[in-house]
Amino acid sequence: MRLARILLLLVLALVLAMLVACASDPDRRTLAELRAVEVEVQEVRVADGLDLAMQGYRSYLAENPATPQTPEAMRRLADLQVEKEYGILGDGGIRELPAPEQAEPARAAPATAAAAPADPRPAAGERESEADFEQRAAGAQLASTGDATGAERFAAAMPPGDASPMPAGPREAIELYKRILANYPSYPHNDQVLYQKSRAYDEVGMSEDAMRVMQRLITEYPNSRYIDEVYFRRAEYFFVRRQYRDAEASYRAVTTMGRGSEFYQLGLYKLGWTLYKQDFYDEALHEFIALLDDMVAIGHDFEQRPLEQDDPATRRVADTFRVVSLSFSNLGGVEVVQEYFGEHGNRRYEDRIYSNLGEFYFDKLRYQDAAKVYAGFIELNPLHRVAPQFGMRVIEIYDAGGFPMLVVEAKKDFATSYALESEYWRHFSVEERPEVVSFLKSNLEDLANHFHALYQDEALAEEQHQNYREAQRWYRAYLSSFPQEAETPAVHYQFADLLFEQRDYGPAAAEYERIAYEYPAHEQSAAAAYAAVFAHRQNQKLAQGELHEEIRRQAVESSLRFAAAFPQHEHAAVVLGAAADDLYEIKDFERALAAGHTLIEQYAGAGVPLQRSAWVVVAHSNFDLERYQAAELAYSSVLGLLPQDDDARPDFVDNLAASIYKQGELANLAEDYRAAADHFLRIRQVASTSTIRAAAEYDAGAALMRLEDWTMAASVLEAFRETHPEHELNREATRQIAHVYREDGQLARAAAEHERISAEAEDPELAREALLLAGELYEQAEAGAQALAAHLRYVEQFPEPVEIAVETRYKIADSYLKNTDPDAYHQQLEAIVEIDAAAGAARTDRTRFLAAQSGLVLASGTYRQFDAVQLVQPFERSLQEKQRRMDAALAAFNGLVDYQVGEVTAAATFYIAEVYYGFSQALLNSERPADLSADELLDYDMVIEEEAFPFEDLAIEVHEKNLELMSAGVFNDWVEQSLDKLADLMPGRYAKFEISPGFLASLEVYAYRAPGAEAPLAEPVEPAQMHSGQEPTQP
Amino acid sequence: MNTKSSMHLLRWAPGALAGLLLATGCAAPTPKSAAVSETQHESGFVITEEVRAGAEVRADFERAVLLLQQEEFQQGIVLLERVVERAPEATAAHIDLGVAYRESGDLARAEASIERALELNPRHPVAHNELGMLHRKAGRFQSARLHYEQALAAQPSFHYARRNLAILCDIYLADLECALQHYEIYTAAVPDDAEASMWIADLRNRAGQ
Repeated sequence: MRLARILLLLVLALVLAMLVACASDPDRRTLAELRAVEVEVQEVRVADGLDLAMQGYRSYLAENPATPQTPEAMRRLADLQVEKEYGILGDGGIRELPAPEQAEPARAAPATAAAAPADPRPAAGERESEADFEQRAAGAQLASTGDATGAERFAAAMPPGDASPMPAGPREAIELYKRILANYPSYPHNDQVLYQKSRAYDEVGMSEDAMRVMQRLITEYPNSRYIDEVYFRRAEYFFVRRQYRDAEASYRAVTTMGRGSEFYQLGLYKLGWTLYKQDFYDEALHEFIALLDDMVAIGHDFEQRPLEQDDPATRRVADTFRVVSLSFSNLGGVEVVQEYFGEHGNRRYEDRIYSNLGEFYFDKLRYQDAAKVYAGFIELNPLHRVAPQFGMRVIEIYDAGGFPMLVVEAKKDFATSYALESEYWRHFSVEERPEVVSFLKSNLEDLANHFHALYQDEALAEEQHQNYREAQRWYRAYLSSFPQEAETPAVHYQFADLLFEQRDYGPAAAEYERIAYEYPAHEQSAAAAYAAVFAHRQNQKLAQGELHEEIRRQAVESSLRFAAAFPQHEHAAVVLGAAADDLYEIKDFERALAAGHTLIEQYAGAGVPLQRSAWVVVAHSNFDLERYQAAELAYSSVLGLLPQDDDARPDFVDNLAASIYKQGELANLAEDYRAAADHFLRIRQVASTSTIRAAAEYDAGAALMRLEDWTMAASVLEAFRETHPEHELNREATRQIAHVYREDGQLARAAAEHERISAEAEDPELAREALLLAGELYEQAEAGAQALAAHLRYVEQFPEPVEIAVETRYKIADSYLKNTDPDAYHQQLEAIVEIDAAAGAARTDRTRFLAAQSGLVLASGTYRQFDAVQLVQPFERSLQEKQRRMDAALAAFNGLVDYQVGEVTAAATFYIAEVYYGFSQALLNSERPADLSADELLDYDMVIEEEAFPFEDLAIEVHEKNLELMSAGVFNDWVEQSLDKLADLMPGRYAKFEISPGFLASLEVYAYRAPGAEAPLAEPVEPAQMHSGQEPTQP
Repeated sequence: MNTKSSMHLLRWAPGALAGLLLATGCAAPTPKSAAVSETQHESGFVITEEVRAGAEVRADFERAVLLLQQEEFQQGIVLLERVVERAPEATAAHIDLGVAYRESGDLARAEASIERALELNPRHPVAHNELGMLHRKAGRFQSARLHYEQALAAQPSFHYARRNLAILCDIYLADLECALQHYEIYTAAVPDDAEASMWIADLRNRAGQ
């Protein structure tokens, strides 16, 4: 309706213009030009506008049959009649046919399409078959091309029963055109008339007539403004009729006009098709590429998605790309594409060429070729903006084609080429290519998962290592490229699992730890932390030596970290417990202690075995750290958690005892012996079954001894000896007890202990010494009988060393002497003399001395026997006895001299002198015969004296021998006694005594006056205090 | 030696003492501390010491001497011990205590007391004589000889030491020449000792003189 209104107004305006002032350039006045006239359009309701216009022209022609405007009015009337029948024609512009319906899509859209706004491929649903495409795309491009479709429309427009082959309107119009041409040969717009006439023929399906008219126009008006359209229409006519050579010439006539013709691009398009239809693909490509080049030259952007998909121009662009693909395909494929552009220069839109070709092949299910096309582009243009999309498409193509191996390889290529560290990303930012990054991510994950799955496939055992390396590679690539993604921890976890499955436990543990601790908390954090610990432990099982220890330390660190970070994890307690155990074993006691305490305090409900294990670590660590009090407490806790019948119980009891024992040792070191003893003794209460209890009790005794608490020490040691009769320290205890008693002044008990030591000793030397000491202690205890018994046992059991045996016998002798048992006394003395005499090399100065002393005693007995004999009547008999005893005594004393013991020699000398003197005195005092007369008695006395005096002289001589000893440094009682005797026997020579002034009578003054002095001393001396030398004091 | 002390001596008894000193071959008294002075006389000598002691101490000393002279050694010793405790610098008290211990048979304490006296007065001839006797009894004859000689060096006229030295040489050292020498000096000083004259004769006889 709007169109009708406009035409009405135009007709009115035209009439006015023609009537008033029109004719500035009548050749150019076409309907199209008329439409270009600016008119004021008013909204007027018009009914049957064309009819009114035509009526207007008819009226005009009727009134003005031969005016200069007549042919113009005739032409316009004809045009209106044609228009009324077929619509507007002859506007001088391209009136392309609407885009025909496209065939059903041949395939589903690629998955990547939605993610690629610059994707050159047709949108979903645009694909049609090749035949449909050729039929549609190469079909008539303009209305009224005289094709079969137009003829049909002509036939349909005929009224039923009408014999005329042509409707009245067009017929009238054609007649009008003929009349103009015939009647007005000079009409300046006859080219337009011819043009319209051909159009009218075309519309009514009289194509041949139309072609003739167009040929006339070409011939008569080669410079007509309609010439390009006419050529194009003729070309179309030939094209439809498959007269491709004729069509080619006509199309080329259009394209030769260049960009000045509005039909230039269309001409190129159809010329390309014409050549294509003749299988001149290479030449066809030149035209299509020229078309595309021209579009680019005038500013067309293929990257921009058109607003109207059904726009003919838009459709033609897509069709051009497609037919280019067909051409290249027919020429051989991607290699030809590469060669073509290599030869004719690269184009900015080459990617679309490739993609169309690729999709063409894809539609043909030629997956390899399709992928090859994309890959070919990538190969030449790796840094092209769309290269990643092409790569993605390759993967999709292989996937669609069911080539899993090729998919994988393609994905590998893609992942390699477009990894975030690749060259590509130096030219494009990640932010502007999110779809590529997203695909890369999923691609890497796919690759990693793929090879991980292959690795796990038991059927592929031989390739397992290769698959393992591949899986590793892609997991690492993913993790390095996408460290912060939400899915990364999960992918990372799979990677760690892969390492674990390969028994690369160390690296697996490291990865699990990263998963657990280096990402923000995620749902697998705790599981990864635990897995790290588990991996470390597995790794530890495989290692040996120093490596084993190193891995164990790593496991411990991981365990502690796990327990600290995820204390609520179901395995936290167990892991912590194992770490504590290891820390103890590697002697990291402080940390073992801390771990143990954490376990005890934070996992009280973890179960008795775990709690007990923790207490064990705490106890052992404290013990090794010398914190024995804490160790004691911990061991007590262990025992509290241990069943009574547990096999380990005795060991822990020992540990408990040891911790207490160590406290005792420390107290000992601090010289706090009371505390030490208390600790040692505490063991028998709290760890009575401990194997070290006995030693502890012994040490308690020792501590008490150092404390000099002899009573308590004795009690403890006695108890020890009684409680542990078979203990190895039992004998030592006896020695200690002996020492205690000795120190405590209980010498007899000490002696008894030493007797016991001697009796129990396996070492003869120890036995000997103990028994000797026992005897000495009995002596000191003044327990004479026990001392004597001990000494007797000693000399009986230990005749050697000779010196000690002799010494002991000397003590025995002394005991007998005190016990007034002279026989036994003398027996011992005789034994001493005999032992010394027989000692040989074992004889010592001491044995010689004691033997000399003993001999002296024995000899002194002979003196007393000699002295006891009085010379009585009968004189001869008593004299003989006296002489016999004198000889015996002299022999005995002379024998003593051989000992060369000064004191004994002096004594012997004294006794010899006394024997002589005694014999002399015995003679002088002998009983005189009773029957002598006085004279005889006098004579007898004289004889006696003569006999006696020599003996007295001998006595003096021998005593004087004793004095000679003084010059040899010997001065003793015997010498003094000899001197005393000599003083009696020779007072003139020997009765000489020292003198002393005696006591001084004054504190201040000692005044000495010589015995012979007569004058008193001078004034200062007080006469009363003077001490005369006349009162010698004999010392 | 011209000392301050000897100058006093000379003023009192110049002639006789000078002859005695020459006869014995001994020098004049050695210097002494201000607390001790020795004065030589023609008939002997006097040793004077300053003793700080109260009346009670002096009384105890006198009682002790009396008891000792009466051979009440134990009581005397008790008193003397108290005296030396209160007047430890009293040489005479230490000497008396030494003599008392010797008389009572306690030779060790006797020796200790005498040695204390000699510490107070190293020249005291009585103390040296006592120590010579104690050492002789212990068989330490050379030491005994030394102390006798020191006594005589201090006081050559001190006949106790002279006689004792002669006996030591005679009997214990068998040094007849020494014995004869000192017996002769002794008899010169104590001409009334006829026994000693006989000893000299015996000695000369044994010596073949």
